[in-house]
Amino acid sequence: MNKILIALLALGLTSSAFAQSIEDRVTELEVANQLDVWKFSGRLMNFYDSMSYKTEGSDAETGDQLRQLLFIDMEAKPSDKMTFYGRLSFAKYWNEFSRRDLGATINVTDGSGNNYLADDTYTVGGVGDLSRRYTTISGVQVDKAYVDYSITDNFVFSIGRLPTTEGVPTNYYYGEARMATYPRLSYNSFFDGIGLTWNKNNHAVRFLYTPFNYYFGGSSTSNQSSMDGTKDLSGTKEFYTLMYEFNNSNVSWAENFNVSALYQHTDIPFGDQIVSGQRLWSNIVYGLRNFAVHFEATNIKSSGVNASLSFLQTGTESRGQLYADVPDGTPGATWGELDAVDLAAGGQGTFYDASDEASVSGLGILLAVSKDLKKAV
Amino acid sequence: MKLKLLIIGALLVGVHSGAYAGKVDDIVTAAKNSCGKDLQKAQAVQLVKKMFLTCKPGERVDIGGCQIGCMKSDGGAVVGSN
Repeated sequence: MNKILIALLALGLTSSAFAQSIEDRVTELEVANQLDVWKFSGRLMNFYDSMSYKTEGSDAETGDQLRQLLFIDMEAKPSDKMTFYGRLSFAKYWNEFSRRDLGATINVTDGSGNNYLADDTYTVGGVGDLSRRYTTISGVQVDKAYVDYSITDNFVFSIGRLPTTEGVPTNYYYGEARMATYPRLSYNSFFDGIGLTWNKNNHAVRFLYTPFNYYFGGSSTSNQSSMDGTKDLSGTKEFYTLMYEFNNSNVSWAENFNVSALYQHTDIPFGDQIVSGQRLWSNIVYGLRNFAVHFEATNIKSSGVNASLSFLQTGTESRGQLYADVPDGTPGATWGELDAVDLAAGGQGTFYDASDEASVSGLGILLAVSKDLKKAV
Repeated sequence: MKLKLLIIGALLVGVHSGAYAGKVDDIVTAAKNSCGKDLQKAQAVQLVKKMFLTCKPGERVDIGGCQIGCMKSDGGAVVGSN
């Protein structure tokens, strides 16, 4: 009888201790859940490229290369209103035997007349340093690092390095979901800035302010100063985007249907020029206007087929003047409209004036289709 | 007074429980809302990896005759879509 009582007592104590332990552990999990706001994920991709390059009138050149792309994604939600998103990336050629020259074109002719594929300019769209650049150098770059802050249920304020590169359809060949805000055709560069988004049901209107910081260094061919000699070293030049977007994931014929339209506007300054030792003061700006319309449907008829179609109408124009303050007979005086008559009139000439305002426009179309092999045929 | 405190306490407990509804509850609710499917929690546990890790944001995931939206975050792909 005593043994039974002892056994029951022991069982009771054990149960109590176990219950306490479970409770403690659950409490710890709840605490951890509140404190550990970070989530990490990532993706590693390796590519084999078989390339063929041909210019008119020359033989085709072929080559192949191996690349790798690593994404390390971060997300933190320290409060219900605020979320941080970040992505670090590593884009590199495999084991380069020798470093390629930065800034060279893709097809380089060496001193012996041999052509070879060159350099670190293998970019995924976009413009120069603003694009993803596969390099021969090991290094990590920040693709995005920004915060969304919900002001109200409908308004979201964003700030930081925004997801503005590798938009649809870049994600098709990565096998990813949509990766960026803009369609790739409209703009594909890494931008820091501020955004304000209004969301209502399937609709979103977004305003992004992504200004350029301009630094006019002291190079001999491109710097900026006032005519009184005061240096104008830096300034910000605005880049605005106004975007409307409609998403519908309840259509019967596709998983999601997206329509977006955006307008982008910026004025990029053209620095002072030094010609034959003479300074030409510049207040010229290049204006850029983009207007894009984009359509996308994913997993059409449950077939795994995704399709996107983008239109881009782009226009650039130059405005402003180049001024010179040079005596008659200087080499620069024979360039453009600045001549001896101009100079004789006041010793200061307009080299390029508003009457020479020029504009160029173009139209781009990008159609992309992909098939997710995991989905039904 | 005690009754009021009891009611407030009960309400707080209720709010607290709802606020911390987990991934399993999310899946059960989504299945119910999308297809009227009653999913047991034990079944939903088996779907957590599929719904929160391996699916692509925006796609629909088949959970046995019922399709529900992937619950994985889009990682901030679109500004202000939070």
